[in-house]
Amino acid sequence: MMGARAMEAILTVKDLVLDTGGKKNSQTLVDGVSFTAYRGRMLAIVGESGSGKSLTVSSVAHLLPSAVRRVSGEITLYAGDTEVRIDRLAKLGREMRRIRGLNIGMVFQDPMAALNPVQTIGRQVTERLLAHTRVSRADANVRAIALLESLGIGSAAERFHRYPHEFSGGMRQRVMIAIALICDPDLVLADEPTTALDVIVQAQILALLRDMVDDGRAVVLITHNMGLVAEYADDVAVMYQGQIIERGTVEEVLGNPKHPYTAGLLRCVPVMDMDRDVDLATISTAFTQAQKGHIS
Amino acid sequence: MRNEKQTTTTPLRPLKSLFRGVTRDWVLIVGTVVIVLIAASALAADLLATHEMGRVNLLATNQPPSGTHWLGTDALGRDMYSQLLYGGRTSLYVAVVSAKLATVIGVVLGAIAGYLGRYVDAALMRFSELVLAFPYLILVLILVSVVGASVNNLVIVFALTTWMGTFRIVRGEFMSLKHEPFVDAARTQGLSTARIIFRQILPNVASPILVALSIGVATIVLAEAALSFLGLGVPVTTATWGNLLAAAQSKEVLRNYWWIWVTPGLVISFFSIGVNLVADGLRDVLDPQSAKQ
Amino acid sequence: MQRFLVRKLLVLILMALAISALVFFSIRLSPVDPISYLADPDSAISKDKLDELRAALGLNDPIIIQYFRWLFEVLRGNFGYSLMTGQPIANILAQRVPATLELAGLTFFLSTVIGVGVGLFSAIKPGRIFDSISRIVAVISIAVPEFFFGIILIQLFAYQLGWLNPGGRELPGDATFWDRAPNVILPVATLAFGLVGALIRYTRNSALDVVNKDYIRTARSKGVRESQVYIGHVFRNSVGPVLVILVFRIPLLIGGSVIVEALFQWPGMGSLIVSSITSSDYPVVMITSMFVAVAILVASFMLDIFKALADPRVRME
Repeated sequence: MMGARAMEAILTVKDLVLDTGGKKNSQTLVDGVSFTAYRGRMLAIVGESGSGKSLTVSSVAHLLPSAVRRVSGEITLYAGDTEVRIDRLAKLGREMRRIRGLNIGMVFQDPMAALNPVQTIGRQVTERLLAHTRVSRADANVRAIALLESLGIGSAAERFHRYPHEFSGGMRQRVMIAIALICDPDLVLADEPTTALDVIVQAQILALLRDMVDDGRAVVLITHNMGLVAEYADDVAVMYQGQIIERGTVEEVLGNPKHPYTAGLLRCVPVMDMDRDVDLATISTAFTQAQKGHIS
Repeated sequence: MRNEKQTTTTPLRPLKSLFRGVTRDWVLIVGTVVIVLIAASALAADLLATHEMGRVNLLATNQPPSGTHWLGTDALGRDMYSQLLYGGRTSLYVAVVSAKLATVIGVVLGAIAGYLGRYVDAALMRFSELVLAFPYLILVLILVSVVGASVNNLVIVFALTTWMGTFRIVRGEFMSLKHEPFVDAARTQGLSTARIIFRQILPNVASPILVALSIGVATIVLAEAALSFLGLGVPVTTATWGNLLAAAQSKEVLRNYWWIWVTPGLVISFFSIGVNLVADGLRDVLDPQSAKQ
Repeated sequence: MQRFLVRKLLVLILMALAISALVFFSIRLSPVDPISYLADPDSAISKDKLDELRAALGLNDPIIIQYFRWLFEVLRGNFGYSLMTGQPIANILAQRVPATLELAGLTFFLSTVIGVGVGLFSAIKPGRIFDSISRIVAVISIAVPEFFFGIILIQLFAYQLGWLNPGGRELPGDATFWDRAPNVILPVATLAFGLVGALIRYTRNSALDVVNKDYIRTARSKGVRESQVYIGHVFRNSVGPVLVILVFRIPLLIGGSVIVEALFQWPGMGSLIVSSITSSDYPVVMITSMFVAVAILVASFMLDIFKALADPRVRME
């Protein structure tokens, strides 16, 4: 429990609505989503595929795919003393790029696909630094190497010049994290960063994300894995079909789910000492059961 | 228990949905219209021609377009309009038959290479690479000089030099399709390899083969024209588009009698553009991601 | 990296040898007496002289030894004599090769720069005017027979406008390259026009594929300038597949574009091949074919080098 200390908000999303655009047949993908991310806390956005979680986060970085259109909603970033309305900026304009570069760090799901195969990882990490600050290339390299080391990539100075395919999955994800952190952003957006990794590496990566929180950043973690939410997140927002149906701190929501869907999600997670002979619940069965009042 | 019906899971679009996609794309429509017009007029040459094929009339040489000769006459007084029609018939005959033959060769070899893999595949690939890398025209030239340039010989020569494109496509498809579950299902039923290749897998590859076939036709039309231009194609007594265009070799014709060579050139060009548009359109329909954004 | 290249080099040499053997035994299968193209025609005067020559050239030795002797001669630059003109083939080639290189080099450079450039830029704003126009140009380039295009160019620029010569590489009186430079314009334009289409298309498609990849999203998420996203990330990854086409163009051009050379009376390898085929000058046909085949092998090898340089993943194999 955080206690009475005031929480400093870094990001506020208010009534975000996204659809597929076009005059007819436009589908609403995100329907009035609102949430706030606070400094020093990890917000987990949970939901199944298609619930709109990735798109919501893409909107924050103003990097929506061309097929998706933002209909309405405010996205505000609090950087130092200033408030920036991200929804008012041009997607590829200088101001937005600067914000992306210095204030927001993004970690994506598949590190192999998210890294440029023909560039050394060193160049990929320093690119952000060189694009937005005035450091010399030598300085940038030094900083990048230090960061990679601190993230657990040994002999970073030598591996600096290697290519993505020469690294294992877990290492690649650390490189992605380095890319995200090199300019010391206040906000980190992680979109299913461990789905492509094995369980042990998963724990390591999430530990790194947790470190970011302890450093005072705001981390938004997208995941469909309730287990991770329970273990690492501070706040949680549950999304279903484009809407946030429940939100609160992890203790609140997981301890006492108010919405049947949330309860259903929790029931689907296998627990260590459950009865083996009972069938695992699927979301649909859990949902209907929960609706009938069997919230366990 | 669910019914285990043997269904063919097709990663490629079956021909039927191909046609539906086709009618929506203007590129395809334009291309098809052009081709159909040209092909139809060539087929109906006998009906549409105003003069006999190759009829010489030394009294009316090098006449510009007029009422009797809609597209003028050449140095021997032959009616260019009729020659164009008859020429189309020959050129298209050669191109279509060759392309079909080339496709058959390519399909059979591609299926074998793709399905059997390993050494058979490696050997066939090397062979096709060798033939493919050799400049097309030079290869054709050498073969034609050996067997002589008659219409039927040309068909064979072109078929032997144009199968490689189809081969690669079919081989590629087979290599990816042979791992699909429906192939395993067929194998467990004890179907023979040949049956699996031709009855099960091949129908799935129909669409890319069509694309390759159409491009083959265009390639051969152009090659025949080039060959005739060099004087090594079909003898001039039988009109082909290439023969007609070859008249432009003479400077006199080139400068003064434009009607002799401009129309064959334009017709060849339009036909070729039409085929390319159709092939493009088919390709877009097959793989929607590749074309637009 | 070294092992990779050495391996490919060995394959190259082996295949070149195989081709030379193929050529040698093919010539021997023809009904022509070897002496007619192995010996200087001036020296074959009487029958005794001929027999002497035969022995001297080792034509009575086992065929395998003859093959190696021939191979050795070829590597030394002695290609035999033309049946048609009696000239040493090496001399003929020495005259023709520069002409083809001129044509090929300029065409390759021009078509590559234009083709790849236009293709890449079309991919930046697909569907807009520049892209639509370039796609139309590409279709025309691919579909229109190049000699028709050439004929039109001749008609327009040589006859109607009278600006350029309708053909020929050099006229008497042309001393330096610059004197005859204008003659190169039409042939190169014709040849290059036919080649740009495929390049534009291929490059454009390659670039469009890359633009949708995840790592481009990563680059944008760093707030990098769009121009840098394209130049540093999109373009670098797009040219790989295009290299294949480019490198295989080289033997195409070495073999000489037969059509363009015939149309513009350009005395290069292409017209040599045609004339030797029509006159059944087997030795010339065989030697030039071998040249082309070896050029293809070299091109294939160079492709492997380029691929290894451009894509670090390949070096690991």
